[in-house]
Amino acid sequence: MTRSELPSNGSSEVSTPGSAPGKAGSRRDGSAQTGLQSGDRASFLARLAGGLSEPTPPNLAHPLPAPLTAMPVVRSSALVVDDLTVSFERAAEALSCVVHRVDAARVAAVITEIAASHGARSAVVSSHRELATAALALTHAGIDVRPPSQEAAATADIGITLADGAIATTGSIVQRSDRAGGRTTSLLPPVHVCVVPVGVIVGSLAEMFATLDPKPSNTVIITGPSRSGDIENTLVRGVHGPICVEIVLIGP
Amino acid sequence: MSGQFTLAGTTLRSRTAQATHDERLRSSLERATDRFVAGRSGALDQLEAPDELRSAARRIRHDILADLPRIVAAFADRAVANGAHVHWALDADDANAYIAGVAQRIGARTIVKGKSMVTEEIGLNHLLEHNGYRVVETDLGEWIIQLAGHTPSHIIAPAVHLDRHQVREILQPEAGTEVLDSEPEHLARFARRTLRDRFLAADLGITGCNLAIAETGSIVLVENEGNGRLSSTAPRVHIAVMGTERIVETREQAALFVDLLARSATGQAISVYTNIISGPRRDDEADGPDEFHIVIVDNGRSELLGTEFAEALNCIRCGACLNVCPVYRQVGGHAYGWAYSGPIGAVLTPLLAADQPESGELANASTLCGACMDACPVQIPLQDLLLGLRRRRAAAAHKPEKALWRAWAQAWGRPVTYRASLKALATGRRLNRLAAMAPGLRRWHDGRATLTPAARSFTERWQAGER
Repeated sequence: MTRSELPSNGSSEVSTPGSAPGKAGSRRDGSAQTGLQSGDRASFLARLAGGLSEPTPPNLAHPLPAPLTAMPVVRSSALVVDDLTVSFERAAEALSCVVHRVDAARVAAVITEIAASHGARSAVVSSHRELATAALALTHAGIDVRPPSQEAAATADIGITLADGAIATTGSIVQRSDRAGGRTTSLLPPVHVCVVPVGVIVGSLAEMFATLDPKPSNTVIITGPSRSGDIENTLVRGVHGPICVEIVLIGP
Repeated sequence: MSGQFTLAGTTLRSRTAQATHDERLRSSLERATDRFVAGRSGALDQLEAPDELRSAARRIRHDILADLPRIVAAFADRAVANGAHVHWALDADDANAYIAGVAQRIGARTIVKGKSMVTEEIGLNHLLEHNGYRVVETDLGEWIIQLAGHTPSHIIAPAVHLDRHQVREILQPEAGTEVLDSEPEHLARFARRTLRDRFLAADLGITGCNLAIAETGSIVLVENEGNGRLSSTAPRVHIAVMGTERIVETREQAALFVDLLARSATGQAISVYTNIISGPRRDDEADGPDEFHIVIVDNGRSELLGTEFAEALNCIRCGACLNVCPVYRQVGGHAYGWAYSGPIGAVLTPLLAADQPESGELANASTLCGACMDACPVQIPLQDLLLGLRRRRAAAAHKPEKALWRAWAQAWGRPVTYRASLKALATGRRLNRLAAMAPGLRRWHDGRATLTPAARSFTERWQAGER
């Protein structure tokens, strides 16, 4: 097979599949370093354009809907519009998350209690200022506390994170890999404890997506514990991710 | 090479006959599809005016396809600016060669895979295994069927054709001396333990992609188990493979499709994990892959643009059309013989696998009842597409059959010959009985009711002045 390697524009570098693409990825300042393009971009796009050069025959049996004047708004009856916190709490509990609603002053104590209730001996804690007291309290309680890394998360009994956002309709928590200090803290340990300040809760998925920023390499929307229905449609929790998710909701 | 064709050398008739005689399969299918159908309607009922959302979604998908070259190019440029490597793959061989090239360059040994229909389509596992890599499917259902040597039987529930006892038998050899129990929770815990080690040992993770957002250069990967997160996080290199048509332009559009996807698929308001991946690990991040590749695959898709079949590209792979289809519900996914099954499979297979001679007759695997379009979150008029495929196939059919139909059309087009033919029909009843005994016509006859014309025709009675 022969493939002509065509650059997309003046600035893009071009590589062949087997060649080393060099140190792509990121720079010291955290900004992304440009990646590479390969394959026959020009032919690829020309094929698409060629297909579109003829108008699609109209479907007379089921005609196409008229052009939209605005994006439709998804409204769910699961959202309690005037109380996002209650809405979030209800939705999260329906997913079998354990929700603790506490004052900011009690966060460290509650997290320590949760860790104890799971018999945790080691914990990975996101390195947020807001979680510093909790990390200290866990250490005092004799738990081995480690900063986020894949190695630490792979063996820890419990992972403790701070939510960057939350969605009231679905009871979801949102974590950005830059701020949360990692992807694996909320993924590898069997128990995930997430601290959610009520101020980060938004109503809908659309509101969350509107603020999506590609600067962090990963933004994850987590909705309950890991699950599968792959064997006889029987719901099983904790297949690859956490078996148990506990949410510490801080606010009035 | 394009995927694993279990349909090669078989007929639709033989495959459906095999499926309908499998009692275990049929009870598994009934349980699964009933549950998905109930879940879907419950989840959509929570939404205000769900049909208006589906209709809007159809229009949005149409408008995206109409502007596809610009939107895909913008996506690639943005993704590259975010630090991703983008490969433009014209066909299955192109995509597979690139991915194998990356695996070779990084010296990969173990490759973990998240569930991905497009990699089933291009037959990626086969090539990688042939090249000596250890490829591990990590979605629980995909892992089970990989070990069993099966192909997926449902877009979102690949092992739907197996019951817990069959799953236990398939997993037992992986457990060594440990004796597995057939309880689903026990089997899932065993999978967690076993696959966790492979995730952490893997050098390369390969996943699919549910949506690609041009505005941010991000891909969206939706899943429930966490295997997609692990495959895209733990190994030092992550490759996401996407069909060109996964693209959306804006974050708003992405939100709408995520909102519709899980509701239509499993009946959840949203899947457990919605991963939005915008590049490799940044220097200030604690973990994640050092390299992130996106492989954009055409593999015949561009040929559908501008044709009556273009709407097949609107599919968001939720599987809702499978669950409501009276044919799929009886025969399951394997009868369709390729990666995609159900109504959407009956449309996509003849279009994307046109080089497989057996693929064309899949358009007949439908009753044209239209339940699929009613269930589709982007309102693909699947029954119209199936009819279009049948029309195309008929146009290319055998000459004698075409001549016969033409003669019939001409005869019934003129009053004299029309009336003569009705007269002949009375005598034809005897012919019909003869046809039932003739070996060549027997099958044709068996599937059809015998025509019984009235003793006197309407015209005759009209002319006689009867009331």
